[in-house]
Order: sequence, then structure tokens, then C-alpha cells
Amino acid sequence: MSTATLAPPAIVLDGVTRSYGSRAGRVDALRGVTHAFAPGSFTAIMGPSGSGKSTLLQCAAGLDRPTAGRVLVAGHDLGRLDEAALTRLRRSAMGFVFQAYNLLPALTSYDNVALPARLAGRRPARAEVAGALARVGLEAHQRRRPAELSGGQQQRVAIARALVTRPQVVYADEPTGALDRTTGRQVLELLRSTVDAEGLTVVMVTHDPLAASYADSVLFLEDGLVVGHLARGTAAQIAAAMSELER
Amino acid sequence: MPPSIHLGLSSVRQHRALYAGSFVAVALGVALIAGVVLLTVSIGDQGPEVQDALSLLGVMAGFAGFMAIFVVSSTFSFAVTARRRELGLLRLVGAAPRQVRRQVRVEALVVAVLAAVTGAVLGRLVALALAVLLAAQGVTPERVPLTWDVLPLVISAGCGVGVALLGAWAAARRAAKVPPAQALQEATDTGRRIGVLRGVVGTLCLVGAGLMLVGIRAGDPVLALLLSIFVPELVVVGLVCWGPVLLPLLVRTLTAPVREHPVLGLARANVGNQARRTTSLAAPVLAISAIAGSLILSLSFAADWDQGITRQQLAAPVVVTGTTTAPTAPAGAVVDGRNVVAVATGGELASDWTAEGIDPATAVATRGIRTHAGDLSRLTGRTMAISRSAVFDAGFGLGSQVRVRFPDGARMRLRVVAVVEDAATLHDDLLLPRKLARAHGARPTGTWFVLPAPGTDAAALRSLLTRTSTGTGTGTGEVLTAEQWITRIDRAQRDQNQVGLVAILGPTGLYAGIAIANTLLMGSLQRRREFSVTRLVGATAAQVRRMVLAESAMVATAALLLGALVTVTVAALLRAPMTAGLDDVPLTVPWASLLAIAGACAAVTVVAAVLPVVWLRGHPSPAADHQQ
Repeated sequence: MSTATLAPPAIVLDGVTRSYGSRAGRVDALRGVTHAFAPGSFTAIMGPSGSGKSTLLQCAAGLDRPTAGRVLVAGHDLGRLDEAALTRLRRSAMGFVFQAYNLLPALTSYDNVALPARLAGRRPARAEVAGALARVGLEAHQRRRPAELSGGQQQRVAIARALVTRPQVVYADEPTGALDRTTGRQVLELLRSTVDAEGLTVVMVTHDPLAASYADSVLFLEDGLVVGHLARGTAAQIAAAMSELER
Repeated sequence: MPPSIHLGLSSVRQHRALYAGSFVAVALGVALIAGVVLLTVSIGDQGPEVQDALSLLGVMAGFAGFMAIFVVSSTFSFAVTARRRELGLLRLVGAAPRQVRRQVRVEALVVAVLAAVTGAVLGRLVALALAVLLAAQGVTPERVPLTWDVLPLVISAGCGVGVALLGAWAAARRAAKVPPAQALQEATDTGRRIGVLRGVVGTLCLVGAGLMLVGIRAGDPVLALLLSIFVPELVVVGLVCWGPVLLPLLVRTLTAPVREHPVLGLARANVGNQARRTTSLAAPVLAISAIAGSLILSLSFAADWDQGITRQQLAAPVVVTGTTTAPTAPAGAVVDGRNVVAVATGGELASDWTAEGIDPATAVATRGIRTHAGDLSRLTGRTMAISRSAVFDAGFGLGSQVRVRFPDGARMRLRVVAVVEDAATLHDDLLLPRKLARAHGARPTGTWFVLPAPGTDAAALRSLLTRTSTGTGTGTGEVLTAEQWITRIDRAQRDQNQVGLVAILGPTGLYAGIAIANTLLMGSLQRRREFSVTRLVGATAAQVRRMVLAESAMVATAALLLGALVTVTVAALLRAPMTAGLDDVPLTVPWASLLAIAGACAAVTVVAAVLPVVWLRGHPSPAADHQQ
């Protein structure tokens, strides 16, 4: 960790507030969150439902714009970028893995993985795409469409796609939520090994203490505020901290 | 209230947007049909010109109904696909397939009844507008007062409900097949497989169309013309049935060169993968291009055929028109004036005809009437002759004794002594001895065929006739060369065709537009998640919009190609019987009209594709579905 703190953080949240106007009145999803995610770190974000963890992830990824505060990703202030520039940054620096429905149903695994590069106007080398699929153990399934893959396989294709552009940051929202325990563990190990091997920064929202135990540290959120922090916790410790929060 | 009915009602309320297309389609269809029926009832018995206008309107309303079935079935099929998870959930909590089926049918019924009532009300306005139009065009002397009879409105509304239920029928069956497990997974149904029933119907339509095509090639010209109007409909239904299998294949083949392009390649993959959406998009374009294209070419070829016959048969070099007074011709010249009388044939089931009185020898000399069977020279006394194509329609032929009633009340039996070749421009379908026709009220039509005396010049005859007809003060008569007259008749015929086409294509095009816009809009609603994933992996909003446009363009192109293929096939086969036995048949391909159709299809598709794209302007946000 000491080396990580010397390098500039991969993601900076600076007093991020996000409010929604609704018929029932104003809802504050985030109420001033400040946190720096070090490069090469794997952070889990946990909290009871409605605590603002998904909003946090979306603001950090520029999918949602904060009502107040700043978000910096790889040194870029997201608030200063227009939609086109944001898209370019997303292409080059960010990858996404969500709970489910990550893949385009019309495309084969190969084409799904190749898509980000193609959209950026670059034709990816065959070996590059095949290599990304091989890293997630799916080199034999290049020509299959999502409908012909299991949930775990789909998720691994999504990870291959998130990694193929060699982003600095990968955002994951409940990546194991739709998977069984064994498959979920494989997906988490995959993320963990990529962080260790390539210095990737991963921010993962989860409600599963076991999943969170794969992370370097866990950030606890409640009512739109960071209420706790746990480094290198075991699943049991994390679960205990969670039930403390939910009491 | 049974649960499926209750659910159906609340589901329509909740999914209003999904059913807007069906509602508009049915309401418009009912409005058109109601307007036409109301007008027809209000006009009652009128002359042939009004009859023509009304039958044209009738065809127009019929097409509207045909297209409405398309729109409704594609809308409902979509609604079912879009709601697979919801339907799966219904099954999961214990709904039987039958209940799901009933729910979808109730939804169709609710939408249909609302739309039919709206349409019936609008129908009165349509009828009023048509009445004003007919009066303005001089078809009716003054504006026809509309009847307050509600029966026409009730009937049209009933048609609308029927059409909607028919359209939703297949969708309801498909809804019932959604497995309960669907509630737990993302919709993976790409719909490339088609049901057995759909396959059988599609195959039957295509086989039927094939047989009809053989019939066109072999049959007589009039039958061929009739078939050429029905074949495209059958082909379109057949192709649409097989669309989910056929169209993705066709589009993928056509667009193979852009496989590697980032946006176009993605569009290509989407079109190929979403077979049902592709079919829904292609169906209206295919329908309008195939049906309208064949119709335009068939009508043009029919006019060519007519012109060919006239040119072949007309022997008189001079034609005088526009005067009911016989031109004063010099000695030795032969003047053959047309005069007609309305007759009713048959007993209980009388049908009305216009019969023409001719003197066989004169008519053969001036108009070259050709006998197909029998002996035209025996057309004297109580006899008649009939055109070859009318035999089927009339139900009597050579040797028949036909009961005939004249406008003056006289009734008699006439023996058919000859069947003559068709020449619609030169004579009517029923021919009577001139003396008999005159005796029972035949009147000159104002067209006179004049043959110069042997050894004299046609030009001299013409100038002489021009002098005498202006000199004696009949004034209105006009002396034309045969060629001038043929050209004029031909132009009038084509103008009339044009009016008919506009009347038919107007509503059909409107429907195609609704259908396409509907498919694209609902598709975009359904694809929010897909769009957002596309955005997440790095597509700009502009790339997503270009992708949607490219998809529409690809499908429209494929559909236009199929439509063109149908048109060319029908027209090519139709050409043979229409030129058989004639020396000089012009070939008129109305390129302007054909291109106008292709252009209209392209325009409708692009506009309809731009609509959801504009609507998506702020929407293809990468976070669209992660916010709820």
C-alpha cells in the first residue's frame, strides 16, 4: 500500500453529492463522499440497499453526474468533459462488468470482446481478442452468442471485454450476483489476479461479504455517507461489520 | 371478472405506449372503411362515373384493411416479445397458457374496441371530406348529403375489431408458449424459428402464388391481369410468414462487405439476430413495394395492350368525337357511329351491362372486330354477340339464349351468335344488332369512325369533315386522325390509372409509415438495455444513432429488392399473354411511378428511423438501465 499512495490516485471522489428530485421530495443518494482509490487497488463498496453504493459507482464512472463535488478518473475531471470526450475516456480508460446482461445478444463472444476497439475505430488483432478470451478460459467459445453461454461464461466474456482495451479502471456492479457460488468465485479470482498481475484498479459494488473478501479494502456506505473502512478483511469480519451497520 | 380479463384491462392501461400503433392503425382503417361505406350508402344509385369513383374508394378501403392486419399483428407480436419476462412471471405464479392467451386477446379486444369507436366517429368526417372532394372534382353534381344511418358505422367498427383480433391471434398463441422460467432470465428469444402453422400458411401462399404465376403466363389477358393483382398479396403474406428465416439470411448476404465496419457491422449483426424485428420492419416495405409495383406495371401493360389492340384493329383513318350528330361524310365514305343502351341480363339475379348496337359489316370494316367463335354476320334480329373476356363474367356463351330487359321495359330472349376478341376501346362487351338497339333506346356516344370512299385520301376526308362540322354549326365535334385519337384515349386511360394509384397508395403508404415507425419506436423502448451496453463499451451516442439508421436502411433495402423481384416477375409473365397475336404493342414502363414508390418506401423508413433516434437523443445514456 505504501507504494500505491505515492502514485496519483486512479479515481478521486471529492465531496460528491447526488440528489434526485422526486414527487415525494428530494432524495439524497450521496451526501458528500470523499475518497481516493489508489492505482492497482481492488476496493469493494458495501452497504444496505438504498445506501447509495450504485450511485457512487455510477458517479465514479461518469455514468451519472454528481449534483455537487468532483470526480477525477486517471487525472481527468469528469465534470469538465462533454459526452463525446467522456465516451472517449470510457473507451480508453474504463471497463465495465455488471450483474447480468452485459453482452450484446446479436454478437458472438469474439465480436463482443472486439467491439470496444472497433467502436474506437481500430481493428483489433485477432490474437489480442483471442488472448483476452483465453485469459478468461473461453478460447474455445469464440463463435458462440450470449444465448449459447452459461451465466458464468457470459460474465467471463464481459470481463474479457472489459480488459481487452487495457483500461486503468474496471467498475463492477454485483458481478457475481447472478452466479452460483463456484462460478462466482472463479469470476472473483479472475478479477483478483488481473489486479495483481497488471496493476488494474477495480471498484466493485457487492452485498456479498465473501465477494468483498477478495478486495484489498472494503468501503462501507450508509445513507449516502462513507461510514467505515476495512482493509484486508476476511469474509467473517466483513459480515460482522455489515451486520453492525444494519443493526 | 375472470383474472385474465382484469389483467388484460390493466395491462393495456399500463402498456399504453406499446399499443399506440395498433390503436392508430385500427382507428384509421375503420375511419376509412366507415367513410367509404357511409358515402356509398348515402349516394345510393348513381351513374357509372360515380360507381367507378366508389369502387375505387372501395379498393382503397380494402387495402387499408389489409395493411391494418399487418400493423396490428406486428405490434402485438412485439408487445408479446417485449413482455416475455412479465408473461413468464404470470406463468410462474400459476397462470395457465390458456389464461395468458386469453389475456392477450382481451388486450387486443380492448384496444380494438376503443380504436373502432374512435374510427367510426372519424369515419363521418372522412365521408364528409370525400363527399366534398367528389363534388369538387365534378364526379357528383353537388355535395351528397350524408345519411344518419348508423349501420355502416357499426359494420365498419365490427370489421376493425375483427381485423385486430385476427392480427393478435398469432401473438396470443406465442404468448401462451412463454415458459415460466422466462421470468428468471433475460429474453433470449431471437425468433428465428417459426411455428408450424406459420410455415404451412406461408408455404401455401407461396405455392398458390406460383400456380397463379403459371396461370398468368398461360391464361388469357384479362384473367392474367386479374391474377397479377392477387399474386403480389399472396407472395407478400408468404414471404412475411417465412421472413424470420429468410430475411436475416438475405440481409446478411447483402451486407457481407461491411462486416468489418464497427457501426455497420454491428447493425448487420443486430438485423441478422433479431429476426422478428427485422421481419416487422421489412413487411410494410415489402407489401407496399411488391403490391404497388406490380399494380403500376400491370395497369401500364394493360393500357399498352389496349393500345396495341386498338392500333391493330382500327381501320378507319379518321375519328370524329364530341358530337352526337353524325358527321356529314361524302358519298362512298363509311360512317360508323357508336351507340349504346343499358341492358339487364338474366332473370332473378339480373346484372347490368352497357350493350352496343352495331352493323356487323360496317363495324368489321371500320373497327376490325375479330370473331373468336361463331359468326358475327348473323348478328341480326334477336341475337347478340359477346366479348371473349366477358363470357366468364356473364355466365353465358356461344349458343346461349339470354333473357334481356331494356330500359323501355321490353323483355326478350336473345341468342348469342358470336364471341368476339376483346377491344375495350373500340366496342363494348355486349354487341346487339344496330336496329334492335336503336328500337329500344340506344343513344350515340359521340364517337364516329369514318372510312374514306375507295380511292380517296384520308387527309382530304379529314379537312372536308373539319370544314363541314364547323360550318354546319354542330361546332363541338372534333376531327382526329386515328393515331391522334388512340393517343388521346391512351392518355385518358393512364391518367385514370394514376388517380387510382394515388388513391390506393396514399393510405397504404400511411400504413407502412405507421407500421415502421411503430416497430422502430417499440424496438427502441425494448432495446434500452442493449443500447446502454453498446454505449458502455465505448460507442458514442452518435454511433448508436447511426447504428439504428443503418439497421433500418439495410432492412428497407432488402425488402425493396424482394418487392422489385416480385414486381418484375409478375410483369414479365403478364407481358406474354398481353402481346400474343398483336403486332405492335408499345412497352411503357412508368419509371417515375416506380421510382416514386421506392423513394416513398425509403423516405418512410428513414423518417421512421429518425423518429426514435431523435427521441433517443438524450436517452442512449450508458446508465439508462442502472438507474432504477
